[in-house]
Amino acid sequence: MTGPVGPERPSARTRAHGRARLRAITAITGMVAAGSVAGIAISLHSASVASTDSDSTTRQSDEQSQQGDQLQAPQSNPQSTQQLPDANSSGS
Amino acid sequence: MYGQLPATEFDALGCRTRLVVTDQRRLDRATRLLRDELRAIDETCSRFRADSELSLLHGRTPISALLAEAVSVALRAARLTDGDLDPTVGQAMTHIGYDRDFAEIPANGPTARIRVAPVPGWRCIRLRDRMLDIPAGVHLDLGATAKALAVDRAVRRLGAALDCGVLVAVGGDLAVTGPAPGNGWSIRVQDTPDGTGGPQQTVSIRSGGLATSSTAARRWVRGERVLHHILDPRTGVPAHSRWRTVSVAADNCVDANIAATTALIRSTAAPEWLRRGGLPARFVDTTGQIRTTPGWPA
Repeated sequence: MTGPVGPERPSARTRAHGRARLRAITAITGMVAAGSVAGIAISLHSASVASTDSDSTTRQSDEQSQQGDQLQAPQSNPQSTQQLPDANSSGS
Repeated sequence: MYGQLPATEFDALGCRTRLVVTDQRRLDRATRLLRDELRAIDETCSRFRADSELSLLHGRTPISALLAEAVSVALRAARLTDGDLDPTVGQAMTHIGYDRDFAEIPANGPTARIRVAPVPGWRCIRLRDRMLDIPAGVHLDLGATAKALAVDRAVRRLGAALDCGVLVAVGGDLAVTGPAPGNGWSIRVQDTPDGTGGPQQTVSIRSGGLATSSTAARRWVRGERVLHHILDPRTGVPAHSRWRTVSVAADNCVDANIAATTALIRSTAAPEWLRRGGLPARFVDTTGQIRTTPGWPA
């Protein structure tokens, strides 16, 4: 006796499970795309607007010329003092 | 209480501003020059003035030299921090309710729906000389760096015009120039402008800038959620940080501010980042414990 030719057909239960997973994935994707997951911290990389090749080349060149740029450390470090302050540095 | 040097205070850019000089005879002129400089920054870069040059931007536009400098500084900050400090957070700031001068924002309010979405990203901004191109729907917020730029510009201008030592402090951002007082400029570092509730320290500097960024300041409550003004560009919502306050000393105020604000966003990775950059810094965590990087006094 020979069986059916071709791939085995999924059972009704398997098909239902697959549809449920697809619905769940679609729902999550839609929520993230809409940015509507209130109160949940989601780490996403910054999106960038696509640019033309020539713009990219120019920008790449700009960035390469600025590669040596960095935040500059102070010429002398802060010292501890007991003096009355001349000013405040506070969160603002 | 402050020391005995000639000084004046006034409000500007939504912050308490303090000017200190080492020569009483220079104070009036220094005050006029400082007010003039801060007014120019406000008229150019404010997100809260409908008539500011920033508010009137759209599409591809020739801009003033001052706005070009402010945008250039903001883009440099984004580049140096891999986008952790991003000027395209304007729309996200509006979404969390920071859409007017902070003094006008109600401290408490009903639960608000917070939109979680990355900001457009600084790479979509194009600045060539004085031609600025911003995609439709992208709104700039230069608040993170424009205030520090104002401080640096002011001390440069005052230093060139006056033959004395000068300190300019706008909110948490300050810079000094010229001959320092005998023991240096003494600066009280603290969480909030009123200094209540948190640990304080007084340090002295002789040159450069010092900036403090804090999630303890400029915060408001919607429902049970506490919001603040330091946004993570990757989510568009207030950064969740191990630190509540970070102070950094640098060669100038802009670099100090970039480092301090980015440190809040980078959270636990920040101390090592600043140590590698040779930037003295003081961190206050959410429980009030203090940590410093090499170069910051005990």
